[in-house]
Amino acid sequence: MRTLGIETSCDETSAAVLEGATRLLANVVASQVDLHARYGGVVPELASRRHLERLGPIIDEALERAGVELAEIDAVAVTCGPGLVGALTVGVAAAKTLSFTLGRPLIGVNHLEGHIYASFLEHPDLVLPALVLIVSGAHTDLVLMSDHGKYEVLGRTRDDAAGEAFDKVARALGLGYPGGPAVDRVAQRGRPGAVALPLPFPDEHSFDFSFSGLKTAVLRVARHLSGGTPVPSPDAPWVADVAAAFQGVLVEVLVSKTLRAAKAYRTRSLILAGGVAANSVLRARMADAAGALGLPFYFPALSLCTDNAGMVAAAGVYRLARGERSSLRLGAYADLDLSAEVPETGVHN
Amino acid sequence: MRVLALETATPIASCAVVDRSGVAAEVTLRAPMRHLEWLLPAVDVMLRGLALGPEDIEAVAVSRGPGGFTGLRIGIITGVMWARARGVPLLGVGTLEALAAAADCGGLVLPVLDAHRGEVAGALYASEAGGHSGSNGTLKSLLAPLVAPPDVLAREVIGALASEGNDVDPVLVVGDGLVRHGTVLLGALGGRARAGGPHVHPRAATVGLLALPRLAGGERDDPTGFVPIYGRRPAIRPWQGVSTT
Repeated sequence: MRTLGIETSCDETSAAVLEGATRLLANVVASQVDLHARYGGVVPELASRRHLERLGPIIDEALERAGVELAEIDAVAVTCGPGLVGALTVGVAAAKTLSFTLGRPLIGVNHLEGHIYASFLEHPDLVLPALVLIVSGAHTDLVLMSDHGKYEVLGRTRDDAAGEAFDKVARALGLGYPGGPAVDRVAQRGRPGAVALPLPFPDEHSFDFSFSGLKTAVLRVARHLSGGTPVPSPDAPWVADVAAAFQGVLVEVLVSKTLRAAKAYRTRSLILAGGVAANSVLRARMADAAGALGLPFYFPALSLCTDNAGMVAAAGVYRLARGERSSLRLGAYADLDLSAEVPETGVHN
Repeated sequence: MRVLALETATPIASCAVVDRSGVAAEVTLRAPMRHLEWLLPAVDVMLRGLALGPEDIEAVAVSRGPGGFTGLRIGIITGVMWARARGVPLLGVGTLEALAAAADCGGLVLPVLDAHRGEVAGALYASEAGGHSGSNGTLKSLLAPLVAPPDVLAREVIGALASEGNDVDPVLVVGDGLVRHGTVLLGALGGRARAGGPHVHPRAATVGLLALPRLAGGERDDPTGFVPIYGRRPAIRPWQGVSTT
């Protein structure tokens, strides 16, 4: 079975062709980083316009790379939320039209579920229940996945997502946008213990996260150490030290909460998902923690961490296999929760 | 040639099937902000009602703007993907032209849509003498679509009429732009302007009727790079979103 995946939830336009559940014949991603970088963040209307321009050619490219014609596609999977509603709308409208005109089933996918299934692409035998940490620009969620399609959100961020915190810190340190890869790179030159930052633990009993206090502390330290220069030089040693300290604390929080949840809930594996899963220090510390607990640890290849349609197709395939379908009334849902049903989707649709 | 026409540029969207015998069917969606959910179900219902399927559509015509950005994109991406999937021609039709045609009257027509932020999208057409601008007349463009404050539009219209040497004929103004800006617009146009209905709206039927002879004559738009006539650049406001509890 060949599934066409479509992903337009934020600022990456992507299409993929997945054969079966694990063979990615093509996974094409067009980033809009160049478009939004000067604004320091995604401008929704610009993102939507760019998705409209790029989606057709991106689908063509994916089909060409896969050596597959549109008529040979057996199903269409599309991210229907959460995300920017205007951006999602382009992908959903496209997917619905392809499904209708080709006479093939449609499945709307939760973007976060897509991130989780990125790991299933390479590890279809992944054992459940799994504890999943999803960390991205817009989300930081700790999720108990008891079975395919069955999620309980144990904790989430009360303010900034981890990826957002990276972006804001990177901007304050003069490191550019997007912040995650830049901070990760510069931090390698820094000494984590050189700068003191507060460990954010708002509520010991909760599995929720909070990063705005940490971010504020970093901004304050940066302002102090920069001696008033508006944009620090990225080569200044203190920049690397602050980057390392920030990253160290953030990773520490993520890992320790995940560990605590793994001990509190019956879980047989640990999964790291989302764009921030590409962070080298986070991967290493999570791997250590999993090892200490004797749990297998899964994380996607770098190209599958950030938004892409391949992971969406993977998540879609599992739902389709359970007989799920989305109706032609599928919409775009900005705040779709992982534990919620995808609207207009079910076994009887 | 059997044409599927789509119109999603305003809060009232519609789809239609048009062929040389006229409008076979038209479905109107009066659910603003829900075009994404309801467009394809409406197309599905409409085709079934005619005992047709997607394979029976030989071309797609889409209302191209100016209009609401999100709405426009829904119609356009649907048309583009349809054309790609079924290998049929695609043609865009100006939204204001479709609105003028919906007025279905002879003479001078000024279609005007509310473009928000104190502006309107307007244009000026002349319908062939004696003919209806709808089914069998043709529309001649006297002023290309523009997005501007109503008094600026009025000035442009007056200027266009002056260069045509037309100081006499009345101008019929139609479209939802009349709701907020009718008074200013009509005042600036003077005594020769008459308000038609603010409820006259661009229709898929008129999109289809305008497109049919052009498609039959070999006119096509390339689905690659087929984008709306937005009419203006977007306001730049980076997303300051935050994960919410």
